[in-house]
Amino acid sequence: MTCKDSSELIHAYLDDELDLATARQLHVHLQECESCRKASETVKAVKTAVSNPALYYKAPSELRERLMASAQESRPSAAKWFSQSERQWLWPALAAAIVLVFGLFLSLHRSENRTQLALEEQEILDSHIRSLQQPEETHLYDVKSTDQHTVKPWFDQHVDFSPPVRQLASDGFPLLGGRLDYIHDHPVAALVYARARHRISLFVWPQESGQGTSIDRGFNLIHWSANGMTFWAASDLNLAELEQFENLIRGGASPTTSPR
Amino acid sequence: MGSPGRAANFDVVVLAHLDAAYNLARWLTRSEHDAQDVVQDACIRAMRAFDSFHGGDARAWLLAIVRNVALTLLRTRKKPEPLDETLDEPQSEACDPQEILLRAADAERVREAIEQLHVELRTVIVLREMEGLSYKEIAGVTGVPIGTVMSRLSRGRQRLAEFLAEPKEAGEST
Repeated sequence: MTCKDSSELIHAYLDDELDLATARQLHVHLQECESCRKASETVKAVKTAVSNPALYYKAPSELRERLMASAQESRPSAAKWFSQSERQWLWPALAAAIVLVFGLFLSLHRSENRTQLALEEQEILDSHIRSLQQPEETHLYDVKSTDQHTVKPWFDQHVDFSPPVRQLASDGFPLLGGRLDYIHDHPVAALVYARARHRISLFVWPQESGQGTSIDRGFNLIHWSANGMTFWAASDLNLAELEQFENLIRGGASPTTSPR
Repeated sequence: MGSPGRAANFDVVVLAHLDAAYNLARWLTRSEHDAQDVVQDACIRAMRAFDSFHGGDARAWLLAIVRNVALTLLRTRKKPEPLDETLDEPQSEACDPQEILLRAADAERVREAIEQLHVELRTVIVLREMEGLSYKEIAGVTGVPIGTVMSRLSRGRQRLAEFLAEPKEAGEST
């Protein structure tokens, strides 16, 4: 470490913002270099001077009381905190308080939904990635068959709903098999399709939950709801082809491949 | 309406950080009266903008509002602000740490030193040394990259060191 490095890093070092390895290197340098050590002592002295508690301005109590009062706007007694010159704040504060109630409600509601969805997406993607990392036979499939008439009855025996199983080989998405998976601790059907060298996991479970598209860790994810079921498709396939896959599963005509 | 729950939320999110808000406003405006106006205005804006606050660091969020309100006020006041031509330029010049420590306990002298800093340097010094915000939080409050936070902090401390290392100018009473 050079003295130039040291003079740039010394503040971050004393503010505890350096990673351990760099901090250690700087520590060694300071032990060896007199002038850098002095520079470090100077910064420390300034930090000591400025963090003197006597320099901290605490909020005056009348300001605090005034703000508390405007936060509790609708209590009639609140008005008494407002002197003539401050009355101008009252109505904006009241309006703001009403907005606040709605805002808080909406944001809580929205963020809860968003969190729920994000969690679901994480679990879906984790499951898809896990299945890819396993040797094919161990977890990619519980039932390995390209025949929908084998795969579908297997699911009927293992989950309490009947996922739609379609053979899409003629559209370039051959069915490879299926497995039982768990999302949110509920059993879900995971169907595995191929597109050239790519694998697509299609997760299906009963319950409608909106739709959307996202990209996460380099994988594309599409989810939609149909016939009382939620569908999630996860793959490293490009989004256009994954959307084509979605259309096929939904039973729509494929826009790019014309069968026969 | 007027539910105690909402008031309680406002207390938790905003009023809990009132000292931090006032301290920053007071240092930026260098006036008790202006600081009160700034904090009051900032709190009302905070209430209005509460919708856009999705949890996270309430203190940093409130301080960012306080800073904006204070800078707007300073612009309209046209009070002479300390100039610093080399705001973002790092510079280092050795100052004697012992000299600085001699004056560290003299709050008036240190106050003077901080007040003569350019307002952007003063901001990072207050947020770091008095509020203990991380570089990342300071970058969030001031809307500049972390690298700029670091160079301003370094520049601000250097200016403070120079100011505090000097004995008081002749003519001023001791």
